[in-house]
Parts: sequence; C-alpha cells; structure tokens
Amino acid sequence: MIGRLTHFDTVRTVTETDITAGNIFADDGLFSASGLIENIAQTCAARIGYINKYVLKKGIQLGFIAAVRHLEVLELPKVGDTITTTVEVKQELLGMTLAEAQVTCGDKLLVKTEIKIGIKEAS
Amino acid sequence: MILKNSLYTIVGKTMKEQAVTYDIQLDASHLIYQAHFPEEPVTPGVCIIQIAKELLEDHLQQQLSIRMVKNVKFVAIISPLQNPRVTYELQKIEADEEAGTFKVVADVHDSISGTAFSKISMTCSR
Repeated sequence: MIGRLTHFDTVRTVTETDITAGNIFADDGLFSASGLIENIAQTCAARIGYINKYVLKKGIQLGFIAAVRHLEVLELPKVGDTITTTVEVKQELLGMTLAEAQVTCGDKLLVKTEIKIGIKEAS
Repeated sequence: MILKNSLYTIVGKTMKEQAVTYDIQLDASHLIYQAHFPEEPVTPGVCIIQIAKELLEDHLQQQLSIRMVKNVKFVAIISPLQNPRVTYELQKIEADEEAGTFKVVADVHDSISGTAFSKISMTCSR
C-alpha cells in the first residue's frame, strides 16, 4: 500500500503514498486511522526490506507489529492527498525494532506514535 | 474499511456489569489473508485494532473514529486457521459526553483455548 521509498539511512526511513479513492482504508473520502497505522507499519517493513535486499543481500522476512504506544491522530488525510511517513529507529534488539513515527501531509502533522516491530527469521 | 461481515462475523455478545464480550469468527479465505501472508495467514495488527473499534461502534450504536491509542500489545499471532474464534472483551468503557469521546480497554484472546493475543487501550470519538 505504501507508494514509494524516498529516503533511507541507518536511522531514518521516509515513504510517500498517494491516497486514492480505491484504497482499502479510504471511506467517504477520508483515509482512516487504521490506514495510517498500517502505513507506518509498512514503512518499517520497507526499511527492513531495503536493508535485507541491498545491505545484507538476503531474502524477505515477515514482519509483525508487536506494540503501538502513544499514538495520537490529529487529522485524517483526504482522497487525493499525498502523505509522507517518517520512521526513526530508536533501538534494535533481538529481532525487535523500536521506532518513532509520524505521518505528515504538506506541513500538517497527521499522526505521531511509537511502534515496535518484530521480525520472523526465514525458516 | 469495514471488516465486519467481511473479515469476521459476530457470533455472540454478552454483557456483564463491567464488560461487554464479543465472540467473532474470522474468515480465513478473505483477501487480506491471501496477501498477509501467502500460505501463512496472519491477522494484521491494524485489523485487530480496527475490529476493537468496530465492536465498540456496534455496542454503542454509533460511528466512531480512533483518536488516540495509549498502548497496544500484540503477544501472539492470530491465525484464522488455528484461531478462527476470537473473543474481544471490552472493559472500562468510559464516555465523555461533552467531548464526544469513548475510552476502552479491549482484551483479545482465543475463544476456545483462552490464549492471550492482544490488549488495546484507546480513545475513539464520534
């Protein structure tokens, strides 16, 4: 669902997504809070996918949300908007990644949260 | 995105003094499970949160939007094949009529084995 990866470094990952009317999370012209959380989770997944493919040269791993904390929804984006999702890694330990994330639209902050992602090693 | 009667159906609802309990049945053939993940269906974390919101809507009979998620912990994977029956216990529902907000703590577990899946503490608004 995320549109494109626009920035990657060891700490910060940024993606952009165009909100289309056909998006599964769009209802009555608005993109839902669940969609924003999923967008953050997928940005974390894009980060791990990028590291696996281009840094570690290994295969795809499955990732899961382990926890969400202090999530605050300030505004929901509309169909036609392009949202920017930024994830900053705070800690990585034992297959768990703790990150701070925010979603913006232009210069408006839409949501901020802490998220913990777990990775399953390929069997 | 409305998951009711698509990803899941409500099969039972019971009310006690302190909690409202919903039993739901997951549909393993749903499109979401074909993508998440191929041959290894796992209920996405956001869907687990979304279902809690939808059940609160069902109970209160009004449309809500998630405003704040204080804390969500996912302690075990919900596979629609191994855990098709899931129980959501909505506890401590607190209404702030003036602000139009509702706080809830949802305890999510396997209806049969009782295995804990998730605990969600959030605030929704009208």
